[in-house]
Amino acid sequence: MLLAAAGVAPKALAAAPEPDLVRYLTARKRDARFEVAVLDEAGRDLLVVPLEARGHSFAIAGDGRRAIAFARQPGRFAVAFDTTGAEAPTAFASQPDRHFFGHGAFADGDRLLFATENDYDGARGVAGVYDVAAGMRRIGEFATGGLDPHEAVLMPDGRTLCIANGGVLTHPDYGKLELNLDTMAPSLSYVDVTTGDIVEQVSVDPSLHQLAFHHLAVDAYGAVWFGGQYHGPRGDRPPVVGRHRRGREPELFSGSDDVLRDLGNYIGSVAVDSSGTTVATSSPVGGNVAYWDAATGRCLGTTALRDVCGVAAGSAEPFRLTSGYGEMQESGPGMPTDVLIDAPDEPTAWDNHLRRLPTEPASG
Amino acid sequence: MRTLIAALGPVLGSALAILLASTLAHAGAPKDIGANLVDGYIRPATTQFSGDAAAMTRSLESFCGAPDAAGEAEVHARFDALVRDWFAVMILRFGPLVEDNRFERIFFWPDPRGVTLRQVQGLLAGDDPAAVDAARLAEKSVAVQGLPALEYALYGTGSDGLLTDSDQGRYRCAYALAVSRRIAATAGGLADAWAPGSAYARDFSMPGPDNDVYRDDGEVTAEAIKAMATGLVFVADAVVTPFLGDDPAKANYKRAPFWRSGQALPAIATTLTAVRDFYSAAGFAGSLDQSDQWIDGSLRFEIRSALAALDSVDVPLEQAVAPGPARDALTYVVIAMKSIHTTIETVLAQAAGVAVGFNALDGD
Repeated sequence: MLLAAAGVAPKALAAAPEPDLVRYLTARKRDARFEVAVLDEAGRDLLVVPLEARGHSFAIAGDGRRAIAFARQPGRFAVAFDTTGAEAPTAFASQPDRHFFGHGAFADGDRLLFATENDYDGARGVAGVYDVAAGMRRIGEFATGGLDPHEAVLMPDGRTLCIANGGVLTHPDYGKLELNLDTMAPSLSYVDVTTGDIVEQVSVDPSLHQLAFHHLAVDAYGAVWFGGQYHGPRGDRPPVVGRHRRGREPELFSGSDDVLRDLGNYIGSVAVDSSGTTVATSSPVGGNVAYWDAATGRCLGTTALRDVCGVAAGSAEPFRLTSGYGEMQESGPGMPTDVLIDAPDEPTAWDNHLRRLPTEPASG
Repeated sequence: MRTLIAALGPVLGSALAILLASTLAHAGAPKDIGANLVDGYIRPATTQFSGDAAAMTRSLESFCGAPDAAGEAEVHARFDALVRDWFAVMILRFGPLVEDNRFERIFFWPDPRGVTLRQVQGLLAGDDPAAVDAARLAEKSVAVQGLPALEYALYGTGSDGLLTDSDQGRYRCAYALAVSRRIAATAGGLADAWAPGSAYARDFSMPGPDNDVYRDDGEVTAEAIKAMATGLVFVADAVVTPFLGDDPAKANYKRAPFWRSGQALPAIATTLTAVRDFYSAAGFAGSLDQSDQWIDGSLRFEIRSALAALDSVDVPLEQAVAPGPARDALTYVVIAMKSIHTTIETVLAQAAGVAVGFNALDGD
């Protein structure tokens, strides 16, 4: 085991952000504080943004500078911030009769922000539309075609959002309690952001109607990979990872029985490596990350890490992984594990999502 | 220990910490916990629920044939017993109770949108042959075939018609009977699924490497802890808090389940005794290290205190939610339930070697 021990490695911090700097973005709980942290390649803090409560994931602008941190479901706050710290963060709230689901995405050349939200009195999922130039003014919303819209990702065409509708009915009066386990109907919706129209919607076999799709990543071939959370009996072992190529039926991948078991019927995060050809799906419940060949759907292996959830493209190895116990590692299919942080100085729980920031496009 | 590890240096310290962690894993998991729970709690509770549901059906069969006050009193007594049985079974929200939506079929709750009331009133207002035929009722919404639906038929507006010799009264009684048969069928299925020789009882009682559901006592222990914690937080958040309200102005006793039959408070008390009995049957006390023995005393004390507080409520629910000693007692019960929940989910889980990580505990 390699011990790079980020906390003590005497590596100088860059004085100012460089265009090609490897940076990560994540929410965390440190001692009793909830924060957003921008991290350098070694996992050290570059910027810390305090949050009023637990955060979840982010919308990140194309140049990697502007980002939005969302409250975790059923929270109502969001914080817009500059990942270089050049501008002060500004908070904004969901509409009073909506709450956030913790994810969002920029689109239309980063002019619009879309946030997945719950219209809980209307029992429908919506995407709130925010005008970035007007200081995140909410200018409208559209139905996502299902309940419980969670992660939203922008497709390579730059104008279509893919939204994972988990299908679970919740109401903030009851926290995250599922109110419709008998009638859950998860789906993936593709929405044209210029019109709000659902241009394609797919779902899986009705026998898997309790498999809530929550997390997404787009691979190098333009296919969407999704991870599910199964709300049925523990003895069931449904596949929880799938791929959808536009215009086709979704495909589900199981790997081996052991892999399925290691994933504990629960995927907490989905990411692709820098090449976009390998997909990683994390399971904090199973304490494992499974890797998949994006081209064939073959399972390439697993990495065991207790309470692992954060996963993003790595810098030295294909993927960087973070856990609720403060661990940070890099690994990949058939790769040795590099430990970047083993035991943090302060008690730290890395939250569900780790995102690698895009680097600024070369200027001139 | 922290100082010692620090003194040994990061590398050796980490190795020692890992060694300790693996040595301690499941040190406190009660041996044969699954078999002890099945014999000592789960089978008696599910058998009694099933038996009382069948008795309810028999009482309704004779009452509907010749309605009189004595028959109605018997039906009401049966209903009260059945609700209490259910709250002893409700904490078993894994495996068989999750399969086939059994939980929702018996107890469609919480129901913030009032689906049960709307749909049951709709059925009672019409003359639907499918509503009085248990087999066809099974195909209808789960909200019209469980205990809240039966309660409305027996105690709700218009239930005085049950004692009149009218078409409406006969139809209402026939609907109540069909619902009772549905509950008996679901309860019977649940008892069968836990009966000696059934697959789930075997998996739960005999964990092992070849067992597809539970690999060791630790996994069964984790399930048991989750069941108690989930049951408590469900009753605190979805049963008590909504009718009690954050402040007296928001209180509404009609948001309690079973307020019509006066079974709301007995149901809450049953949850507490259920958790206590389940915990005892699991054998946690005998498996705790000497230094963890205080957990047993603490849990028993908190449950006793909460039960005493409930017992002190000597006014009807509609008065109990108004400012005064009864409301204070109910407020305390919620606090106590959350505290017991936290003790079980964190301290007891830790002592039993099945602590759940930050991300796995409450994912998104």
